[in-house]
Amino acid sequence: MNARIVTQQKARAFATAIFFWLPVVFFSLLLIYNTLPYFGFGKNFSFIQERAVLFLQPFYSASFYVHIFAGMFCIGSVLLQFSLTILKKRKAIHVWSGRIYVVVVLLLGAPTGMYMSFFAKGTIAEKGLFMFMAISWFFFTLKGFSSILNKNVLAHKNWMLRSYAMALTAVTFRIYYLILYVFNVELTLNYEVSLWISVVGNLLVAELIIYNKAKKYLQTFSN
Amino acid sequence: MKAFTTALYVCGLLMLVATVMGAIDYTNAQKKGTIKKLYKEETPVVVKPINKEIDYEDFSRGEINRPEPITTKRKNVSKRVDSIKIENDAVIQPKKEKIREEPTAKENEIVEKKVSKKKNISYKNFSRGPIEKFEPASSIDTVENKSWQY
Repeated sequence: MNARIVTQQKARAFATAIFFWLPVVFFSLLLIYNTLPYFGFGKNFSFIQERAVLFLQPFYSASFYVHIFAGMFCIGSVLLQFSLTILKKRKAIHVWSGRIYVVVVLLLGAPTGMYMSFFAKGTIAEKGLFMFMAISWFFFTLKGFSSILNKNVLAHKNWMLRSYAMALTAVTFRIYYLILYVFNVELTLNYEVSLWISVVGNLLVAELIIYNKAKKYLQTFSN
Repeated sequence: MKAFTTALYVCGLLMLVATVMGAIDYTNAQKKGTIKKLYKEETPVVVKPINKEIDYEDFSRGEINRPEPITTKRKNVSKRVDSIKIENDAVIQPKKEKIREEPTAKENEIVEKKVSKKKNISYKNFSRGPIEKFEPASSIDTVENKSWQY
């Protein structure tokens, strides 16, 4: 291969690592770190206090704890899934981590998210958006899993990327929420806007990545 | 493959159950009015603007609406001493009377306290909860009826 192309590829990989993966890993770990105290089952959290009435219901309370456990696990485990090194040298880690991810999303994360979406903060549109998130997370993960069972690696990658985009809304939402807070956006509006940007934005980014990959793949046939 | 299909059915069923239960609980909550109490935020304090009268004389580089002094002025006057005679007949004249005017305020002036709100963001704000300290009307511990109210 041409040395210039190799250098370009290396530079691109380095830039992706610095400007994409580094913040993603940092904020994902921060999310996990902030979630851990909830498992002390204390009530002294602003999130719980804001929904004090809801937390009186055992089913909602249980759903919440299951959901944050699932979310925390998914966000953490996915970081291993996108590593090419692990995929090439330790494929078993990728396979088992992936299986657990699928089980956690389909059995725990998505159903509890669906239940909680009915009581989500915001207008009916935001509740609908949370429902869409739960359903799409479930659907994308299911498609990703079924496609790898059918040995369709390309489709598996694409569906799992979409699934991860949905899981990552938890991280991106918090980033937008803090940025808009700094810009003095009123808190309820801030919450709603951040939610929409995180969901729509993540989906768009995922589709853009898939599109670019498909374009490159098709170019290999023309060369 | 059969196990996979069964697992799929179980997951699908779970989603369905979650949807149905969510819908039922939400409807019940709406009927009881509990849902309205959720996420209530205090209305922000609105500061009424002060009516400022501007006339043509204010079109200058000088102070606009200079505060008018209040009619009663306090004067700090030091005790008047005509002269002090010292033994060697030297006469010391008293210093000129010092009049110190107290700063005056306009009668109807509203003193507005400027509160600069510094935004302290910490890693703990990286959550879905409210960023600013949430003070609930009722917390879980203080709610008397601990049973599910829906």
